[in-house]
Amino acid sequence: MKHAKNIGTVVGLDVGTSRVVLAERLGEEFAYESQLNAFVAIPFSKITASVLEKEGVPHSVQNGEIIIHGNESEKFAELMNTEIRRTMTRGTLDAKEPESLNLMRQIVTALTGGPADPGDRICFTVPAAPLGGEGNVTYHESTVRHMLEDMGYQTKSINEGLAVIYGELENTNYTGIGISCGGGLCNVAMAYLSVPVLSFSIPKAGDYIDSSAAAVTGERANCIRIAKEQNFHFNGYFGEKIQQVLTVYYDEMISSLVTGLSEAFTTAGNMPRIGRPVPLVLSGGTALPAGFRDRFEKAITGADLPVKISEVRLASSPLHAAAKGALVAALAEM
Amino acid sequence: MAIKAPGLLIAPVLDWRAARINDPIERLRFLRAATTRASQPLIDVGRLKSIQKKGVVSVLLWACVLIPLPIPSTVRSSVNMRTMPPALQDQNQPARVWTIDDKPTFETYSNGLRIEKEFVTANRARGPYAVFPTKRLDAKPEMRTQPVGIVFHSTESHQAPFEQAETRNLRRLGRGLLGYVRQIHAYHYVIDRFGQVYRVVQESDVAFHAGASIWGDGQLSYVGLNSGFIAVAFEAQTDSETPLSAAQIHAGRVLTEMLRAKYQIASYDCVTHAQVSVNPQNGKIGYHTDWATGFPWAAIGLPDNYKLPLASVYAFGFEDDDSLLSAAGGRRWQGLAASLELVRQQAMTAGLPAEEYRRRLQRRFQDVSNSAILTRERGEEQ
Repeated sequence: MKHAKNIGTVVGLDVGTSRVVLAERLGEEFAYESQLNAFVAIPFSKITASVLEKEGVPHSVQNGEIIIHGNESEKFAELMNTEIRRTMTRGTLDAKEPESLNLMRQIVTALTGGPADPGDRICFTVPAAPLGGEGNVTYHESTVRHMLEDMGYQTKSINEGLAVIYGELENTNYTGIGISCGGGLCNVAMAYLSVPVLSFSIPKAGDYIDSSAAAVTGERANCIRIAKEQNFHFNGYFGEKIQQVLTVYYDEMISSLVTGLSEAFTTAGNMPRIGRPVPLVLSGGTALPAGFRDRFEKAITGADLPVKISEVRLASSPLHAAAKGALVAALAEM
Repeated sequence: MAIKAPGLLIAPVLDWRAARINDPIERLRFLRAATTRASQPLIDVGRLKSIQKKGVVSVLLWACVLIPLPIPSTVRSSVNMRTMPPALQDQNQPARVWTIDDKPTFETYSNGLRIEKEFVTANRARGPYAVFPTKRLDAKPEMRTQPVGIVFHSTESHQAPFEQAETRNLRRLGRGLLGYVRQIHAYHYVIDRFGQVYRVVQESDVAFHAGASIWGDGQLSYVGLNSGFIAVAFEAQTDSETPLSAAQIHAGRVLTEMLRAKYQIASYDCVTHAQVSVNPQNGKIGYHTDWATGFPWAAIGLPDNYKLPLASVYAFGFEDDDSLLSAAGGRRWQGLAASLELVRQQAMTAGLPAEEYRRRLQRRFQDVSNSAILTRERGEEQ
């Protein structure tokens, strides 16, 4: 076994704008842990710092502020009536947050439980380039890779949409379309017998829905997000303002995804001829509302894509599919 | 190299074979390896297209899938098989060893071997697998169901100093290793730092230990040793000053004796992972380098098998590798040097440049490898 120098832990990491999810294999089962990829800054006081320390709330002190990161940040944002901040925006590290990398490192450390041991391996997700553009995906990928290597990991990256395919489509020999509807981006990939044949991202995703709905309703985006995650469903009943607005922007996102898929098929130069319909699997927090799958299926059925879709289904565990796929890739290829 | 999506010719074959692999990770591993190979220009596409026009390509394809024989080609006929090394004679017959106790948690044997069963796990059963007559690799393979050899590994896992004060740490690391080996079905046996022998994957099943691998004893060639070879791993880092403790060496010796006695394994089929590992992607040997040097042959009760020729080189055209040479302490094994010389002579006899001759041998590896896999698939289906 000398090629894989040391035997160590293997994990998959879905680095999303909204959440960071870690997957590991325990025996035959997959296990997951997640942290919000977010933080909130509150003014420094010794009493507050000591209370946080006592309560075991993950935090750090920087430039006269206490930074609370991860899952606790949401609770404190509510308490302080302020917006949570993110280390990432639109799928990549936020250049306007100078401490974003440092905070992400702390969030990842909270998930992994500490620095890596020799031989530990990690496969992390990266977004696809936006349709028709390059974006700064390369910078993001290399920065996250460097951070993880600095923590002691052997690293590998995987396109987020492809990770969904590896996590969910083993029954079709990893042939099909995977879509991850996250916070900053929707990532789309198609693979044929495990080989990626197209991938792209669109910037209309959960955050776009939240901020657009917030602008219309006058609510804070964070409140919209919580309302969306707790109560929203597609039922055609528009009596409630927030529900109505969310439906409008969800439809816009679905429409952009279907248009993007159609465009990607048209522009892809080396599409294999697949002689059978392929499944499409939806994942990510933005795909969770009841009725989303039906809405998406209706939209894609009318799109007349060059590849026939055999089924549209929600991932077995939508919040974990990409992390699971990253882990599967790590176990198979590292 | 960018991996291309498999084309119409190869995709149905890959699809069919992948669907027969139960473990999703193994399935993905197979597909990634196969699609990488398929992206390499091994086939004259222009020629294939002209065959396709004649309407016979589907017949050939299904023949490849259904018939467990290597694909006939003009390649093999130009390879001189008469200059193969002679079949080896075993000067070191296995001793007689028998079971004393077979309890739920351990077994003991007449030579003092004790096997712990705490970490035993099942894996895919060792179905009939193909072995190939070295001098006629294009002949119908023979089928075997019993192990024919042993591959020695080192775990290269994290180590604590071998000192009394570190006992707890040594035990923790050892048990963590055993749990991991069980999880990934990596070896049949692990010998921990204290010389305790643990059975992990049961002997009737395959362990995923050898990866792409080749061994040959002059008479028979084995491709993909997971099926036919028992994996014995020492908890060790081979680049450390003293890779093995005295207890590990003793345990390795009595375990090897027992396995050789039980399956009548010849001493020349007891080899190290570095000797058998190949990388089909770059056509070089020594993809894994554990026990590239320093394996205590005599102490384990075996002759110095670094002297044996490598079938990967003389029969299948794999080349020497710098990292293997470095791992072997800068000295080429005697058997490797002899094998490289044999290929040079074979190429001269065939009137071909050595590079071209090796390429032809490597294509034969592809054929034999496909044949071995398809034979196994058919065996499992039956």
